[in-house]
Amino acid sequence: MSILTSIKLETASICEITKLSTQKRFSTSSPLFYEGQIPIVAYLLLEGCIQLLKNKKIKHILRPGSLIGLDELMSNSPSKHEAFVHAESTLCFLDKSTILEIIHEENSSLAFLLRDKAK
Amino acid sequence: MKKTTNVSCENCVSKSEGIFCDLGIPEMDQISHHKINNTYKKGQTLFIQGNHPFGIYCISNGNIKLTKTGLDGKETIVRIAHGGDILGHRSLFTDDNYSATATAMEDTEVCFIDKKFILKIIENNPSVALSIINKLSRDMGAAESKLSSLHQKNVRERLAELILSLKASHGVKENGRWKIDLKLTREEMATMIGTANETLIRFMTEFKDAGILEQEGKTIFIKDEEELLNWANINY
Repeated sequence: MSILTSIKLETASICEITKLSTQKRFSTSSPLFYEGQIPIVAYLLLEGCIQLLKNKKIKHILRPGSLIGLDELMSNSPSKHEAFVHAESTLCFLDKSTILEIIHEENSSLAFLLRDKAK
Repeated sequence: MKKTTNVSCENCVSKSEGIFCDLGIPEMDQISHHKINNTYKKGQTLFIQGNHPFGIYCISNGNIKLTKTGLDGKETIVRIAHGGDILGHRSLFTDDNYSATATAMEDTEVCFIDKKFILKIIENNPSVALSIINKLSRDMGAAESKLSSLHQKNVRERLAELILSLKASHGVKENGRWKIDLKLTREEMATMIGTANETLIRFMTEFKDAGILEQEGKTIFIKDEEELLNWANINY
């Protein structure tokens, strides 16, 4: 069974994303998206951890530097897992408009990466 | 992974009540292509109080309750949103975090549009901005009414007023009486009028004994709307 597409990013790409989007700290644990749903944004974990669950069972724990939801968001595909962020985690968010702007306008390594992953 | 096709805004069951009702087909197609369409099961949250907003949610069908949690951990229902309503629209104009938690009360179909895209749509189509202002004004009016009710009315009047407002939003005429097509627990109803569970139950019994309301299971029926208006002490 394939897990939700999670991309481990290099430090340079993480820096580029943090410049283009806002960073937020989650004060409480909360679901990011549920199993069978399309994520509303792509999430880059900067600090803390995200759990990926299936049928309420933990299947994977993501560590800082992981980008999730990009593939599902851009291809309109429902996620096979639920993503749950722990309290005191810091995340960066990339909405569809920002991703499209980066893909169409930027000529950076991040643009190449997003073009490749969001096919 | 199975790719899904978005339900077109043009075919949305709540199109006439939504903020995009005045748009032409090309603009609606643009939104349909960009938006994210999800179904939330009963009890699933769309967003949580204190979290960062990314855009607006348009409810296609179903009901969403908006609750605020106080410092004592108690939850209060501040609003029930249904088909055609939007959520998170205040986030378009401020950078504030969500002031309430949105939870699906039944299986609910919701579309999400990110902030950048909706602002671009507003820039090109002022009718969308007017529709949002209209929604904001109505929300503000409802909040003012609720505030004055909590200060000026007793529990009996507030309960009568709540049932009348549920009739306006979820009422269905059935065999000469109004059916409230929304299942709320007694606890949820009590938080909506700022009273204790026991007090609400006592007043519900009083309403039923007076022949104003009827109940079948969890469903409430209004038998005597005129008397309910008198009890609410408003010109509804």
